[in-house]
Amino acid sequence: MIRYPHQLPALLFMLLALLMPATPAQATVDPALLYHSDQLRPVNSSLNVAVGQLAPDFALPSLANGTVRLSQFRHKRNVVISFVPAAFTPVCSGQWPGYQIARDLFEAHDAVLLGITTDNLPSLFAWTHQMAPDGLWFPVLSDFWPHGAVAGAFGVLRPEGVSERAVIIIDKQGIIRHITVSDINVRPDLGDIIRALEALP
Amino acid sequence: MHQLPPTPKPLCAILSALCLLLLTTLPALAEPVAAGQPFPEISLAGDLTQEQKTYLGLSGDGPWQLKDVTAQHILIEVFSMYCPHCQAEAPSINTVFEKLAASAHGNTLKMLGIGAGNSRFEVQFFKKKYGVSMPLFEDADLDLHTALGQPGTPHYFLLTRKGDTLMTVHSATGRMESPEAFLDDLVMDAGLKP
Repeated sequence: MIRYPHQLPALLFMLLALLMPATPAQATVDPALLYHSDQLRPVNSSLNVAVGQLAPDFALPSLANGTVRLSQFRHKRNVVISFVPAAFTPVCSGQWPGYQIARDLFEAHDAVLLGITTDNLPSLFAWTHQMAPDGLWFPVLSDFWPHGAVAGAFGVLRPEGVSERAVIIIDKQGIIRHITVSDINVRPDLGDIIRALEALP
Repeated sequence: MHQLPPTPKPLCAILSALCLLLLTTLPALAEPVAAGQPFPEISLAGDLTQEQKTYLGLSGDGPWQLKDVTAQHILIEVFSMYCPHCQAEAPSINTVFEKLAASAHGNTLKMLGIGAGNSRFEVQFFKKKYGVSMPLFEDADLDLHTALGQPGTPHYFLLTRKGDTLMTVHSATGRMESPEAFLDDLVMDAGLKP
């Protein structure tokens, strides 16, 4: 019990000191800037698309080059879409840094990777430039406005306004060939993505 | 009756918020196994080459028990393919592995890595990407990571065999200053002759 106000600064300092070891040193994204939430419901949306369907086209602002449109890759490249829920959160901040070193794996399957969140561009810029000072090699797209419209079109928009942690693979004909909606609290296996690319017709 | 001075309201609010934050982060306050503690008996699984199995004194396809590694001292790096610090550290740990293997302590102090949250595919990709010769084991479901107290990555544990127990003699999270300094500290902490 606090008996005298002059004890409070010391108590506050002690509490802060106790909290500091809770931040794991797992990414170049400053651990102190990561927002930790409670365990979330693993999946909280219903897919609007299915394997074998034509993927809904979209155009989203990219951190690097204006607007990226899904159909621009038609007849040219396979497309891997990595939806992640939010910038500056622990699991997401430890997912794309793995893809950052796996460019050759994607390109070996003639695939482009598109990273999408419902964050706005300034947040995505700050976040991804902490992962890699020169930015990530793959386009990072903002589905911020109309908020979550693309995630909603695929059926991976959660009620709280963030996307699921989902991977969708689209072939050169624009057909969806693979969908994984992971537990939002768990990072998906890169091996599953590459095996799905290997299985493309 | 003696009246206590009232606690200022803004400070009360801050204190309450911090207490709440502390309570909600308690699961994350697990501490890595510390120096002086017995190291948990863990089971290791991975896709090792015959050369790596011979190095560790293991046979068959596993899983193996850590205690079956034939060395008086064992250095374990807990890493993740997804961790940029571990990616940047890989060339240094390769240097440590090569220097140690070529030294007089190569058979006494052996090294291995555990990929926290990494599948076999991810561990093998990391191995190939950075040319890692050190034996690497997978921990896709974070079972080992949890057993070891949820260390950040990279985390280094140095173990010394005492009877049937592996004792932790060093436990620290973070990157090494240099391979040479790291190796010197390692040899000293293991109680080996420089």
